[in-house]
Amino acid sequence: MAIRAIEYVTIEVDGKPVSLRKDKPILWGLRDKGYDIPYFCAHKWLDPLGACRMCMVKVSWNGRPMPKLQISCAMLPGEGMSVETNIEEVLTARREQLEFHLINHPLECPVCDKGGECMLQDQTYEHGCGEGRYTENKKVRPDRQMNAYIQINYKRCIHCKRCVGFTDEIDNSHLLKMVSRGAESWIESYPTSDDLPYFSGNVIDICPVGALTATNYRFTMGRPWEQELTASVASLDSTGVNIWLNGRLGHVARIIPRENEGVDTGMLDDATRFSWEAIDDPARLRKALIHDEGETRRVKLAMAEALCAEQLGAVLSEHPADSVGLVAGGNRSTEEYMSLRHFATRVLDSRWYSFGEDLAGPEGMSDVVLEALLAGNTSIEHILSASTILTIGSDLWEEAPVLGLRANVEVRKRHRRLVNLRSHGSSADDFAEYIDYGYGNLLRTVRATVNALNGNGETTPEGERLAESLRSVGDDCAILYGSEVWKDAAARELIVAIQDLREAVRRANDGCSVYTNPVYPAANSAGALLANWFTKFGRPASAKESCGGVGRVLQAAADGQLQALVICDYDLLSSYPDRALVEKALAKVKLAIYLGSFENPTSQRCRFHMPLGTWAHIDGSVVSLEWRVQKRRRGQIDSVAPSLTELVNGLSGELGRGFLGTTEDMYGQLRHNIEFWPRDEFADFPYKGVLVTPRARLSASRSPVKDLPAERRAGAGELVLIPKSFLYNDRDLLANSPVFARVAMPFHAFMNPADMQAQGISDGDSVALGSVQLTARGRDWVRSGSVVVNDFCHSAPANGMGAAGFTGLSIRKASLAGSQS
Amino acid sequence: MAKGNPILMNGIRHECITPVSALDNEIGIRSLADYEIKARYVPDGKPGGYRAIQHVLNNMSPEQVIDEVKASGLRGKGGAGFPTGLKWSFVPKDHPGPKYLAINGDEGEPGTFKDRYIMEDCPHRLIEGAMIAMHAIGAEQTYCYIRGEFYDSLRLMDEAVKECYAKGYLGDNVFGTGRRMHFQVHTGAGAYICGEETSMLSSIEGSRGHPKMKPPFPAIEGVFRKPTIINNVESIACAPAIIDAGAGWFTARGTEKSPGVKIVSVSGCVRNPGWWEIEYGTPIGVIVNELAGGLLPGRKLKGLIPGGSSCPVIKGEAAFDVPFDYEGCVAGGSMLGSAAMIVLDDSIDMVGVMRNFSKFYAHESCGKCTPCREGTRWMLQIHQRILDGGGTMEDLDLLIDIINGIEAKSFCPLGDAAAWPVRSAVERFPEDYIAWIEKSSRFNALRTNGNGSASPAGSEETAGVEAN
Amino acid sequence: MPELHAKNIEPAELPAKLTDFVKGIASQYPNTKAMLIPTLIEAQKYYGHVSDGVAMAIGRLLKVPYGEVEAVIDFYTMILQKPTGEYIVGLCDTWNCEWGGAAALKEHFIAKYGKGVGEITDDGKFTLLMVECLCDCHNPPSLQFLQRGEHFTPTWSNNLTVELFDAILDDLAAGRADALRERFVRMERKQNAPDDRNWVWLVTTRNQYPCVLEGSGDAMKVIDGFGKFGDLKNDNPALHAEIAAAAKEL
Ligand SMILES: Cc1cc2nc3c(=O)[nH]c(=O)nc-3n(C[C@H](O)[C@H](O)[C@H](O)COP(=O)(O)O)c2cc1C
Ligand code: SF4
Ligand code: FES
Repeated sequence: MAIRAIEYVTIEVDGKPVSLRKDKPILWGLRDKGYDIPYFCAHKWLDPLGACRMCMVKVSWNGRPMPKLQISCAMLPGEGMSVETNIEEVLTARREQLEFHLINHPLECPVCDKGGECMLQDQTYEHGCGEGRYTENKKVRPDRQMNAYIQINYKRCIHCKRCVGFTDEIDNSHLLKMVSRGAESWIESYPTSDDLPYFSGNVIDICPVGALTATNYRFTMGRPWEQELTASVASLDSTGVNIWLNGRLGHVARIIPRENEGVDTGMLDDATRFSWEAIDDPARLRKALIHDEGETRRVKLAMAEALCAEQLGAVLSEHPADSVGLVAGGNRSTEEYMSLRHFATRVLDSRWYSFGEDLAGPEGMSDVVLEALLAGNTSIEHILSASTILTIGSDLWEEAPVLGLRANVEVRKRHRRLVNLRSHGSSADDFAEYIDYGYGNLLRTVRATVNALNGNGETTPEGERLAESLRSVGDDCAILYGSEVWKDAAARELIVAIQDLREAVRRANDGCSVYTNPVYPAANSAGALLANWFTKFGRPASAKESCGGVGRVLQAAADGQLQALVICDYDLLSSYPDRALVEKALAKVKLAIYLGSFENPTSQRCRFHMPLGTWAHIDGSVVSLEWRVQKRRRGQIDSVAPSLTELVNGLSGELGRGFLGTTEDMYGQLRHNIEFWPRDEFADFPYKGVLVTPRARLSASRSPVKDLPAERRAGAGELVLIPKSFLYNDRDLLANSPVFARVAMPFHAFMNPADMQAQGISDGDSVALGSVQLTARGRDWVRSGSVVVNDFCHSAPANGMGAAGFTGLSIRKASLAGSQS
Repeated sequence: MAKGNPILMNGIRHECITPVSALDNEIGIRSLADYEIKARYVPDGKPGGYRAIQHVLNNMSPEQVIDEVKASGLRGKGGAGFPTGLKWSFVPKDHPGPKYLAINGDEGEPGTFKDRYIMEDCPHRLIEGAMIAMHAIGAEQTYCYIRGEFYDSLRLMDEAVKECYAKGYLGDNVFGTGRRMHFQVHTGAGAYICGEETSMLSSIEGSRGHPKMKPPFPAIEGVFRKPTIINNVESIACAPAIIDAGAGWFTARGTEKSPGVKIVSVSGCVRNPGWWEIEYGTPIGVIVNELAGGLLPGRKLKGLIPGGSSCPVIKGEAAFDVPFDYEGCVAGGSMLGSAAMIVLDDSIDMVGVMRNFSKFYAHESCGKCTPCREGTRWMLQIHQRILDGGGTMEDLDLLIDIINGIEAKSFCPLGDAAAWPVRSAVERFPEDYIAWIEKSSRFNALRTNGNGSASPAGSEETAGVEAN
Repeated sequence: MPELHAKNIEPAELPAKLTDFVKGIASQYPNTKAMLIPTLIEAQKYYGHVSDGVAMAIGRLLKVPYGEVEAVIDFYTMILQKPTGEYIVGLCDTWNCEWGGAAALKEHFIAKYGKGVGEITDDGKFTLLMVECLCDCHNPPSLQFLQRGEHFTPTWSNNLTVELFDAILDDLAAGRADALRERFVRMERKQNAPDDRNWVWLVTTRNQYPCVLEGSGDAMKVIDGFGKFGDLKNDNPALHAEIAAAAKEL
């Protein structure tokens, strides 16, 4: 279902011709054209409900008026239609309906957090009659907490049911329900026991009144008109969701969505929405920390810089080249990566650098892999309009929540196909087709599918099944692949095999369009990739090439080749798949330097911990999974911590290597050297970003590999350990936002209830996974024979439960079961 | 046959004034065996239940059935009076997936009691009618939605359906013709709004009984998003007789625009309340005085609601001259509705009646749309206040304004149903309201100090609750 | 964590009868959710009401989210969430029944037991519920007795006077088997009789009937307008005696 051209039709509105989209109710078209038709219950995400009756207009067809007023939110435009929006009959109807809306409303605008951005307030001002005639008893019902994030104020609710519609139609959580009947009815919430809300915050935005407000905003963070808004981009995943960062008096006050039709249509996930608390939390470092022989000193940044440069200088004077490793996580801005690149190549003169969380696994990146990553990418709009969406090893809901949500909506509402190749169940199981590949056998399954589609070579039952469902994908197919690919020991081969799959699907469907988009592990993995492989993207620059991957840097350090290690905003110990390697590397190097905003297990193992501003403190560009370059703007908030660019400039200066350049300089280099980079200036970068088509100078040519790796199975009595990427985890921003301390993070050993029964484990028991203990939880979405854990948890690191890659574990009840929890 | 004679079509006869010998009595025919043996009216005199459906299955195409029903002029008996044959013809012929027939047995309109007696007394006639309708629209499944309080109807219908399944009249091979026809009795659970057709579909789908947006109309996208025809129990139960006796037999009765017969339920201030099947066009006076035994001794007619609590009240004795058919009732200032006649005599206070009706609609409003949800409650509150001695003259205008805000503006016709009777009461019986208001302390307080419209009593009341 | 409504509800163990009921009707519906309301009504017959645990269990059985089940339960007035007495007394108070004297019955019940609407009487026998129009408007006031439990039996009791209501309540409380039998209310001469037989208008706690009286004295026969009275003599001699007594008076 490729994107179709939009059709228009001309109708008459208040006597003038107006051209409107054929596929949208006239309410939206007319409002866009400036006709002020009031409405409450309609919302562009939702099917028209027709409950509030505010949007009524007079409609005639070919001069014949319809006897009743019609609701414009459900009325499609058509030939011969004429609409009156401003006649007395319509205006009276609005007044009447508004009076009904207001009879039970408490009219407490002065103390309501919505005041200033409230539809009811605005529309009463515009269309109300100015006086209430209701003298009977108003309905009252005490306020209630809707879930951990949101409070319901019943008196303000106007029963528009948008919030109910959202949880039914959009996020499918069925969290909110209208209960009881008639005037007695109210909105009730039914959070299910343990599971965290993922998108509940959106109901705050779509509530037209102040009935639903965020607990960590209401009453404390100021009024809407006091907020200084900054157009920024969310930083927890690679979708590139647009947000407004609100600042007041130098502090962050909240994060609200900023609509970008191409990306998010105004949807936002709860983790992003509520994680703003960390930005200003006292836990964020303002000074540097020096860990020295069991002691921690808090030092001013300038002094720490000098000390750090001194020690780094000592290393460099002894081993002038290739002696310092440098790794960085995937969430800094592209400009910061550029300055880091200069720091590595010009100051440290080292090829042992790698930015972005590892995409290519321990083997490291190659031209073939880089090409495979870039080829076939497309925009989110195209992904969502594809007839078939195939995900490979990626739970979109967790890894790219807004994209996952939108995909689910497309599938449920517009009957697209969603096929999941995965190792465990997901929230999409109710409406998606899925094929389980036993964890650890992803490469085997993908290659088997390719072979089956090509009718050439060995295949497997899973491969056959997937091939079968990919033989008729419809008009086009979008393939999304994610965390389980990155974490696979054979990530390189997998990325390449997925390209083969793309070709095979194309061929099997008469050359239809097939796209492949990686779902990156971090917000700016793509930008990191760009800076890391700058020589391949940009004009040829004579500088040292990256060694190819985080794994290689760590291996070099563990082998004793490196004297020092600089770790930039990357909690390796908690999240790098091979914890033993990280341990070894950290133990082996003489000097470890951590740059980051918050303390974490990795930072605590480094001698120097230099503070950095968070994403909200820094101007810079980020590149999303659809290769949309967007500008993440610094909020109207105080920082007291430098950007990475400032920091490496400082270190470089201390080391006597001079100034590397400002953020603008870095941006200039990107713009100047990379052909496909947007032509816009940094200062006035477009608010909705620019989609680009990445091209790299690569020398890759090859033919599909047909061999299947041997099947991997856990030993008898063992369960396969699946470290899963959850949206909620111990990432710095989440671990340090007090709001998340109140919700139950999914740090459990999720097991199939049948397995638990077989092992005599009951829900809530403590179980030992390797040396780590976790609470067991029975969940049907876990495949029998496996155990799913959160891959990023400080207290129970998944990478500490067994060897990297594929691990079979024998699970037993921990001896202290019960007393543990 | 003279107008005013109760005749029998749906096997419903409360009493026979002049026995109509051509029509056999089907009352109490609950078992399949009886139904098959005993006759209803058949021109050639050969008796037998399930004759019509077998004739239809063997000799008639769906189009022919629809044409026959169209020719009979049968109008829906659930309230709106929409021509049934025409409705059936709306189902897309070439729709590939399943189609459904949904029978509306959610009788809930105050004053109505007719469908329950069809379901209790001759369930097989309904099943046979449903089979004819299924054949006409190409459906293989019927849901018969019966209101939950009708335990007897539910039980008897269920038993009848089981009998039919056992004999192969329903199932995957109906009468050996290879046709699939299934019939499921589906219970409601206490919600008047589920009588509204789209709410009924929501309820069958297992949801709250909220009405659905039209268009798409149910005939295009109904229950489970498949084409669905919804008909009242009585409408469906007419089908076998129309097929058996022919459209002409039907059109020979009633009036030109409202052909045929209708069961009327009479309740309220009459001596012998009950239900009769009458010809359309019978004057209301004949129904009330001859069938229902007339008013109670010494009483005069104050008003009459011809079609159930949702219809306007006709004032005074003039009601007796109104012919009981769709057009006649509209001309008389009301509607035929579900033909549930409520007779009000001069001992009745209209404000009390309207308070009760408002209470009913406020309680039964589903809560989906604002005017109905808030307006019905507001109307109830005003009536209650007037009866509690707190009325003012402004209340009459306010009531009319509220009604203007509900009428034709609510999502489904329940809002209209709540508004119409109150409008007729305020406009046609203002003296009843004024009598209460003149006794009210609030009115008198305002009158003596000549104050404006703001009411001190009211604001105190509100403030008190707000503080709670 | 702030206090949430999120109840950690233990799903109840559903009786096999109920799961069989679901299996029995499953073939008639294209999805499981459509069976929700019939299943809730069926469950209520066993439990008397639908508790949260039962709602949760039914939700799991039919794959309907718990919130949706609760929302449905809350919409329909016949599905009760609170425990009730052995008999639910469903009294209609829409206009016809209000006019017919429903308020007096309600007041009588409250005075007799000291319990309001929705409460269980001290002996655990009754719960009075006010319901909207039961669509038996020609028999006001109209009332339903629902006996909860294994042998769920509903019975109509119409045209009630306070005395009759009181007698029925007492008989039920005393556990008399025929407490809910059809009882005689009143009888009068029929207006506008269609022929010159002896037409009367008979009102019982079930319905109002036009009847013909034949013969006299003990041999008198009551013939009804519909033929429903044929079995009357056999299964309800008490009613027949009451009618005969009244006929004598006429
Ligand atoms: C509030 C409301 C309640 C209704 N209740 C009933 C009802 O109880 N029984 C019924 O047959 N139709 C009822 N109707 C009418 C139905 O919506 C629908 O028109 C009818 O079932 C169609 O069948 P018919 O064409 O055979 O009349 C109701 C309509 C409204 C608006
Ligand atoms: S809480 Fe807000 S969004 Fe939900 S129904 Fe009420 S007014 Fe609408
Ligand atoms: S916006 Fe159209 S009815 Fe609410």
